[in-house]
Amino acid sequence: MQEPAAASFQPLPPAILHILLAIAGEDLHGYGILKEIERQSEGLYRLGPGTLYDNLQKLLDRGLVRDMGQREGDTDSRRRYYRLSPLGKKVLTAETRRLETLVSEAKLRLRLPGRMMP
Amino acid sequence: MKTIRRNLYKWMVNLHPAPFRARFGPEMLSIYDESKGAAPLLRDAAVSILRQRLFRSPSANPPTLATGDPQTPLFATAGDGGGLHGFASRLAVGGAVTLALFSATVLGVGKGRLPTFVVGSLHPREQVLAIDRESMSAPSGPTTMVRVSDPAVDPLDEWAKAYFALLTPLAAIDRNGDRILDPRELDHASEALAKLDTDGNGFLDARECGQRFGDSAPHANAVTARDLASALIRQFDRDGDGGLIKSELPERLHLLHSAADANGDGRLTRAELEAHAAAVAWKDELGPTKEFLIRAARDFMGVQPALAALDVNGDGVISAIELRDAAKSLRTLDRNGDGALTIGELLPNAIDNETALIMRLDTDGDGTISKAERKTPLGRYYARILDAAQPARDGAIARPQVRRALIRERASIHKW
Repeated sequence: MQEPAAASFQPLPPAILHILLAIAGEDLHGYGILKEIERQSEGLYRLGPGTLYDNLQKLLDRGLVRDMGQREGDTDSRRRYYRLSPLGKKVLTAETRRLETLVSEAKLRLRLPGRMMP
Repeated sequence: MKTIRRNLYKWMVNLHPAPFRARFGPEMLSIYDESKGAAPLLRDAAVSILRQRLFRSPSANPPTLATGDPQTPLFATAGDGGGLHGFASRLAVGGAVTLALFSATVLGVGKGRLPTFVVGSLHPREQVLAIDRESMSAPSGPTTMVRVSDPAVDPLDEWAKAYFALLTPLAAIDRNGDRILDPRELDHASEALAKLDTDGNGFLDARECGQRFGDSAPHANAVTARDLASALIRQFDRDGDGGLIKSELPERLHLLHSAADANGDGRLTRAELEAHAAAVAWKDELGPTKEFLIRAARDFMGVQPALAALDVNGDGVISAIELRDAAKSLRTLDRNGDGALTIGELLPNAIDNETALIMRLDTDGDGTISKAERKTPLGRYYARILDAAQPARDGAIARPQVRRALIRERASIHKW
């Protein structure tokens, strides 16, 4: 089956963006994702488990995230780990570029200091 | 309580659609166990239940990525599982879930038992609660006691009763007898006061306003000023020299001593006593002089705030014009601006009254007590207050200075 274009997912809702960003560096379980989002947003954006798994369900269904299952030796056997899929990485990269363009445009209009994107 | 909250959360997780619950339920509980605050998680679970029940179809197959409008972002639809299909039925399910949550919360608070609340009164009266007789005579008493403080007893109320009984104008204006002059009663103050003009001369004097001093007729066995002077000397002249020095008199008579000591030598002679008694209060027989009565009437009108307000020009009577403007004059006493006059606004102020008494030393009417004006018997009596009002004693003393000195003195006495 042909892989959908990354652009077809854009723009990403904030929750999706934050979840993808949280697992971009390493595989994380649900609680780890929530804490990473809280850290990345400096506490400004917080998700509850219900919202997290609702969005994870969508990401899993669309193939942007993979369920890596449980890990041996984990202190809590209920934990499952999630990984960014190659498609998820493409979508995140495309969204990051879109946001960079948006930020550059904003800086230009507001005459804020900062490097202009090519 | 912690266990109850966790069980509640677990129960809420179980309310999610089966596929979602099977896949993520254990993980949600795992997160609950690792998190600190339960309240945000409970709120999140409640929203999640509604979201999953209303907008996510558990029976729907995962949407294929090929479907959907290419112009529409895949994450932008609210119900990508089933859209708004069957929305009404899902709304009904959501309502049922909400009701279930509410019931669960009530049960949780009641620790497994549905709490019973019976609200009633231990001593029901129809005047207090407009409830039917059956509920008032229910055999079981209230299970929850809500203690309401006793009806507020205004410590000034007893004063108010006496004061309204004394001052006939207040009683006349206060038509409903609640000892509060409300705006409506004040509006009709002029008509109410006019009825007190028993002699029909068109104005109200102190007697018509409630002053009772001097009512009694001269006593049959009245003593003369001479008798009074003799009695005082007989009782207090301890050294037998025929005169009275201040230390021979009790403190309550020191004012009399200062006032009667005409030559200021500190010693009251029989002649000074007789002259003072005759001049101030006593004539040949027991009874106040006409001048004394006039001054007493003026003082009576001056110290009662309501009468002082009505007697705008301070001449000791409430004239026809002052009667006509009674409502306006009385409203100047409304310190809190609520439109009504309560007892706190009507009772005389001791400090103000004593200030007024001391300011009577101002015989030239320039508004201050001069050095010369202090050299009167009354001035000498109030020397301590006047010294405190102006320690240097080298200038005129104004009313505010006297008032402040009196307040300081009261504060030192009562340790305010």
